[in-house]
Amino acid sequence: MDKSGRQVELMDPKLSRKRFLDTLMGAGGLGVISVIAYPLLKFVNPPARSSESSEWVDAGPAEEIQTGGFKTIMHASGIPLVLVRRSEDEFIALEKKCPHLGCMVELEQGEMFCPCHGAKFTLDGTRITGPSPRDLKRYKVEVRPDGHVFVGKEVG
Amino acid sequence: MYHPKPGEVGTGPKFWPNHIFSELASAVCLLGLIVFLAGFFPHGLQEPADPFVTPEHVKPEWYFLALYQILKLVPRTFMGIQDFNKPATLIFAGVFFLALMALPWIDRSSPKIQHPLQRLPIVSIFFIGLLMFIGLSYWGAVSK
Amino acid sequence: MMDDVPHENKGFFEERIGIISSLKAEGADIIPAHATRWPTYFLGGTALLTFVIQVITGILLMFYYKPTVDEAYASIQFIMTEVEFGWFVRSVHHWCANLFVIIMMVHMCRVFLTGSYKRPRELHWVSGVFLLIMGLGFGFTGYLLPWDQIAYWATTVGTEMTNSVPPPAFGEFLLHFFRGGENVSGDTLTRFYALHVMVLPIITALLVVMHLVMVRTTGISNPVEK
Repeated sequence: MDKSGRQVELMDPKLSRKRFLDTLMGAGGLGVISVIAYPLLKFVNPPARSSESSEWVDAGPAEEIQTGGFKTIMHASGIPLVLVRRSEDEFIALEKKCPHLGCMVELEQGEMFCPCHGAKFTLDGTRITGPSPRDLKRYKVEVRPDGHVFVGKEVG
Repeated sequence: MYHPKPGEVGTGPKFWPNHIFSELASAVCLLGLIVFLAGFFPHGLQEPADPFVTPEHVKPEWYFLALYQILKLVPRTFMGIQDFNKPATLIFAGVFFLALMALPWIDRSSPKIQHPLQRLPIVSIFFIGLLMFIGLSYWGAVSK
Repeated sequence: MMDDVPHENKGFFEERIGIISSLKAEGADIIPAHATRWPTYFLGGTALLTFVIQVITGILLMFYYKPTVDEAYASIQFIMTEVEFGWFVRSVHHWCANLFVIIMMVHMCRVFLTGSYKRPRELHWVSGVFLLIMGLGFGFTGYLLPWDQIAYWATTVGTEMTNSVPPPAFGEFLLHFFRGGENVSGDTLTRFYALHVMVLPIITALLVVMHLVMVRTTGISNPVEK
């Protein structure tokens, strides 16, 4: 009696219809939610700003920097760089950001020194000591006919 | 507290899950409608703001159109009062919302009388007000 | 049948938070048969959903929007052209804002017709009117934010109106309060932005909570069949 009673309940057409409708609604709801969630996730992913795509940044006239001197400039990507004039025609642009944890390195006694954890680099960016996993990034430099120094994309 | 009517306890639909379920069904429909509207009728952008040039026919959002039209209809000078139209429109809006809030105290008829056909006087005032709102909004939308 | 689930089988969260149990609590539990027969009884819930969507899309738009004279228009253009689905999120915010007001109006019509504002539900109605006013305030302040021609001039006309609120000194105070100066400027933009993204949402959320708690306290009204 108990068994047959349960069987009747299971086969109750009203119940199975309700279950079918529940599943249908759940699937529909999931569908709508994913249709909405996908664009929202895409939305929060920042697109490239148009200024970032411009390759060369004007760092000002070359004569502003004496030989052995340096200048800090902002790259188009928003990362500060150090522009060092090593000789009359040799300019080097290094990322000011230490590859270890992102602190700003300073030019001290002919070396790039990171105040956070003491990493040191040569003026061409090569790692000397300290916790940095890599050399400093270098950027392309060219002196244009109008005498201005331009800094371009990352080297390599 | 809510007092169920005799014989209703345990027999009526339940807040959970019945009511929640119908809320969910309506939510799915609403989401679908919003995706449809936003997808097929994306919202645009006009020319950037120019403080030196006023465009023709500056219109507010649709729900302010009735008020916008009332502002146009009220005479500028009334019984010798200069600049009558603007304060009159604002006072009208203020009185309207105060009266709307006061509705439960304006209509002190028994809480048991709920069916709209048993409350014809106030229901007809409501419908006249609603039709006036719709009419004024439409007028505001098409007026130059 | 769900009520018969033994206590220990509630599940970890339900045993500790008990939202579903409180929804199933006695008294306010039963809703009138009308509520399932008349499809208008879930308008309150859908109005709440539009508010939630506005909060989500509003926060997303704030990721890119910049409330300054120089950048507001350009940041909206950036959202519309550069950000993936930016046009979609902004359009959802726009349409949902309109639906928020429409649904609240239809909800109020239903409450009026079924006489559901009567004792003991007077404050449900009053908080609902305040919510409608909040919706209008959202529309008024949000209209300016794109800083395009219609935004600038509709706000100029709208705030000019406040100047004529009597007495004159109060009117002038209101004008300066909304404009942050004599004219619609960047100071107006930051004020409207603060009202639109902080002041109005907080007040609205509090009103929504009050409204829902009151509905749970008294239950949904049960119109007598004629």
